[in-house]
Amino acid sequence: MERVFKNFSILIVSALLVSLGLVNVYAASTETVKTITSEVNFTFIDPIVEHEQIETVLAGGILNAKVLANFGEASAANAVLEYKLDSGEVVEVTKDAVPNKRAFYIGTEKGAITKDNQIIEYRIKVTFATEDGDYILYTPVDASSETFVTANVVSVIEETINGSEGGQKKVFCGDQSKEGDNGYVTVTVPAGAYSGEHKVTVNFLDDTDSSSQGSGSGSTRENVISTASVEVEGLSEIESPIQIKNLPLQNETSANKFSMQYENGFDWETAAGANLSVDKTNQIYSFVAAKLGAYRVIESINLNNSSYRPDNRIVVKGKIGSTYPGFEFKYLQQGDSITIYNLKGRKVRKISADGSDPTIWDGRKDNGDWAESGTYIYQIKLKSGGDVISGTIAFVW
Amino acid sequence: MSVSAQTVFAAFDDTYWGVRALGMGGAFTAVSNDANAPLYNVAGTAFAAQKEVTLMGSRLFAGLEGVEIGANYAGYVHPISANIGTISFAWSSISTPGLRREDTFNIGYARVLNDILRLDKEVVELSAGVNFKYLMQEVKFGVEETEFETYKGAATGDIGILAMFANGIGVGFSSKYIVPADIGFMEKDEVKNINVVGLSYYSDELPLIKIPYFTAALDVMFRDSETFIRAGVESYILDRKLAIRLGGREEAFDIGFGYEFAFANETKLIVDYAFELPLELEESYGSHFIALSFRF
Repeated sequence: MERVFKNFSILIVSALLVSLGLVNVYAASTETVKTITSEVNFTFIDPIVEHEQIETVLAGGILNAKVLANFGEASAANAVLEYKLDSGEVVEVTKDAVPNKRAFYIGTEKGAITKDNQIIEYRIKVTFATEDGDYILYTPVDASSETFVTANVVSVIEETINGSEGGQKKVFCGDQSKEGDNGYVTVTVPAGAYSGEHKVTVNFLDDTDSSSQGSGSGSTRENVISTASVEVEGLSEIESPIQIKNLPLQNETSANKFSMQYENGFDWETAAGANLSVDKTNQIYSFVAAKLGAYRVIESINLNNSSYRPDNRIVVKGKIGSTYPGFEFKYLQQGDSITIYNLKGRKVRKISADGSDPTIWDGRKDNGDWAESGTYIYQIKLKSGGDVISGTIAFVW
Repeated sequence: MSVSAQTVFAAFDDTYWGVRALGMGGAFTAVSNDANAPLYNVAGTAFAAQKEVTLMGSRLFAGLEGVEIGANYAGYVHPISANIGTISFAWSSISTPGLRREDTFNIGYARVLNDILRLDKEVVELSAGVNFKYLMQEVKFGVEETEFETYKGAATGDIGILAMFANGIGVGFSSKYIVPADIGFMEKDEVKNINVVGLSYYSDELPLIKIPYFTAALDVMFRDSETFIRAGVESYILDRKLAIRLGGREEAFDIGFGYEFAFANETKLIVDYAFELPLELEESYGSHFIALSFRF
């Protein structure tokens, strides 16, 4: 009876908000994808959690859901994104202490969704305790505990565009934290780019790597952070460049210098006139393709001792795996190493970098047990020589 | 040395409490008899002949760019009378600015038990003591952990026994953190109990090699499933004005000095310095500790 009353209340409140034009509520049968465009002051009668369903997710990107929750007088709530890929395995992403009556985002790990996936099923669960008891709320709001919603994984953008007249197509990328057009990949074909209607394809390629051109302090590191091809079905050349906007970067970047390369059939060369722009806030990039073929984005990073240090100097044991993987040491290459010591100068853990970035200390000792709460000293040794890079971090339970 | 090298403790570890003890490698459980004693073995405070206050400052692991750690200690012993015993106060802190610090606040009481146990002072002097302590951990959490309090504290205690035999041999036992103290922010994190057995030998002049006012000490520390050993020696020269100390444990070597300035009415000012060289950490010039003590 209580559940019926709760659902009825939710229905009434939702209808009221919709009628006032405050919220765009997603309908499963709607073909276009809408995003919630502004935060709303809720006046819910009962606890509620709302989210606008995501229909498409780009392979290699993330599914990042914007959620609005009202958990009444409860002081804290936790949110869990549960998603399952084609294999059926359910993965949970937990976000602690989500805000009350304000939007928050909860999303998959970068790279969790690959081109091998056809669909992703997901739902969001918000749990909290009140004087009346413990609440577990799901979105969609009418879902039973077994119900998931489905988003299609788009591994290749394929849009038919008339090249004589020109045209533009948009595909939602799956990340609701990106405002406005930043959340859509846009393909623009200028009039006269080619004759007639053809299928334009933007394909994400999996050849990002760390193609270092130097290591150690004072050097420059160059990494491929995204690769995509632009093709027009049945054609090998175009008359005018095609503009690609807001493609999600396959690898996250914080660099300040970027360049674009084009594959000429034999090797990679500088893509002249690509007009590359990288939006680090949204981790997206835009460029124009004067030729058909593969393009890649290169980040250039000037390394100094500080480059290798972890940004997160405090890690809480219970948040490893949900909020972060541990202490993240950046830009280390195979052959570099990190040694962790306690405050008596005794070695706790030695980690050899395997070339993946970042190199993680997960808070465990050499024997696999958890390290105790405390302040620890790290020492980074680069195979290229130079100073040992030292610093302090705190690991607490 | 560590008998099993897998378990490595961090929070509220047993170290950096008083410069005299550090100069002896931290082997102080069966030596304790001054303001360095409260956190090593509270029972030793019963053997303090005078009131004493000591203040220690330090710079740990000098030479490591990006590492700024300070350890501080303050101790006070106040012998009241043979019948009542000795009270002591101690505070220790180890901190990294902008990151984390841990503080120990300690109140102790100890008494010589010969009169109660009818022990002959010419054979042995036996004392026992107890500490009440409060442990506090402060962490400067970032934006990822706004849900946590900045501080976490818990109360616990120590007990200690010390027997000083007339032939110069001392035997001490100290059990620290005997009450579980949970200092965890997100989940339970109890500070591990430490049991230390200490042995010492004192001679006004060491036989054969004639080292004056010589003390040798050995501590065997048990924490969880691990065993650590510390050892140190001390000698006083120049009419007992200048102390020279050596000591070590598996991961560090220690050397220390102390000089005593005597004034009227048996008041004394003591300056102690200890240097600790870490053996596993690289590129450190070592840790420096200095203390001023006043006996009155």
